[in-house]
Amino acid sequence: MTVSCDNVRSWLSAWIDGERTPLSSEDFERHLAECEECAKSARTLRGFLRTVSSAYVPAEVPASLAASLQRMTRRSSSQRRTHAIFAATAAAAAVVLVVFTLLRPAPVQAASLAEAAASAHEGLVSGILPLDVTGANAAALSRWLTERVGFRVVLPKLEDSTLVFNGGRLVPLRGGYAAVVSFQRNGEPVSLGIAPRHAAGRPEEAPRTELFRNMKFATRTIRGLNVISWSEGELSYALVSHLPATGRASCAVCHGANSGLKSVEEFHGMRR
Amino acid sequence: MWSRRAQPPRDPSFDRAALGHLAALHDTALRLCGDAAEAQDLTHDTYVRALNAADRFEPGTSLKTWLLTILHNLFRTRLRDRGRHPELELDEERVELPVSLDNEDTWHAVTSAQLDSAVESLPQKLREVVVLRDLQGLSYKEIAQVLDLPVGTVMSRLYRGRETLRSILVPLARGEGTAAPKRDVK
Repeated sequence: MTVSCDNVRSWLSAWIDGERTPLSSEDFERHLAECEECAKSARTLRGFLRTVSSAYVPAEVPASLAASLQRMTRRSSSQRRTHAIFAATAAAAAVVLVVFTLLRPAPVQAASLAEAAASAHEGLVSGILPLDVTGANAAALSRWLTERVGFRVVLPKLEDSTLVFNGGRLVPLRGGYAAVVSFQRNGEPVSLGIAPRHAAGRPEEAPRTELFRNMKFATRTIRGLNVISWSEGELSYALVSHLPATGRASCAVCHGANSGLKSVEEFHGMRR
Repeated sequence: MWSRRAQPPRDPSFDRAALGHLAALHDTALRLCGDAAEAQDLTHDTYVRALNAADRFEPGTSLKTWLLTILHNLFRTRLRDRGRHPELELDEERVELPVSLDNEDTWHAVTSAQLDSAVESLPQKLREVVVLRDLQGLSYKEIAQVLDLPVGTVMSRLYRGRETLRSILVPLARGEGTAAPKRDVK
């Protein structure tokens, strides 16, 4: 027996928001398949939320505020270092730190997320740069990166046999860190850079832009690599590979079958 | 003899992680205060408070939620100090809800300036819930923690906030109103 419309509508927002409700997902899906009114409410709410999310652009952080906070944390860090000099274990720790630093390749420095992702991609593909974390589990990789970069990283599910995650690496970017996720689509190496929108910057290379559903996609060629950049919510993304930067293949990099994201089959035709 | 209590050493990655939420905190402050200078001040004070109390942050919980809780508490303290009472600024039952806004196609035409303007028009109590959920992506439980409210109240305010936001956005998206100019945060 199906649940009532009143019951479904009471919990519809919570269910769409991914919250726990007294009704199961099967209850909602069964009811929405049978009741056009409730299905329409669900479509409208999803459309509204998608639009809000797409239209949302965080206010630019004033440079004076960012600089002031950077100075404040650097000062604290400096005080901590001074105290550490007098600690009994400081000398040994410093030796270990120096050795570690010398052995580790120099970090990629870039002025924009697109450049940082492109440089990281080159380093990772050539084997010069190591991954900070390896493993093909998207959820574990998302968790590892989220704990370190200060923003939430959610990678698509890995039920698609053509998509294999290699791992991730943290890349310095404008006073913070960007996450670079390395994976392969049909054997082709691909890197996805993710950073807060305010830190993404603008690359020097002129972009070709395309507006799709309130979202602007910029495509560039950086040292022969195709880079697609876009922003959604408070995060910006840069996808780097040798795959064509336009057309179905570029969308399918993330939106493959069973990826948990909207299927490329569902929306790609609308771009034409 | 009295001595000043030493600050416990703070993990350097804490500062980095905290600063990673700067855009979210500043944006939320701006939407709460409605004034660029006040928002900057509130964000700065939030970081001073947070970095000095870093040892009270529980690892494994959401740092962003913790920072937003500090920001909201400081904001409310400021309102109280100025003799303003946010809890009196909204009679939730008197918020008029739209009758029907089911034109799904309208939604693809909303700009960020229109969204900013619509969010700014929301009553304070509805605005803070909508901002935390739909712009900052917090869960209902996290919003309840930030605002010190029961989850049920968060749900009812979110429902009313979204309906009110839709009622403001639809005329703007149809070109029947004018959006406020983009905020100046310089």
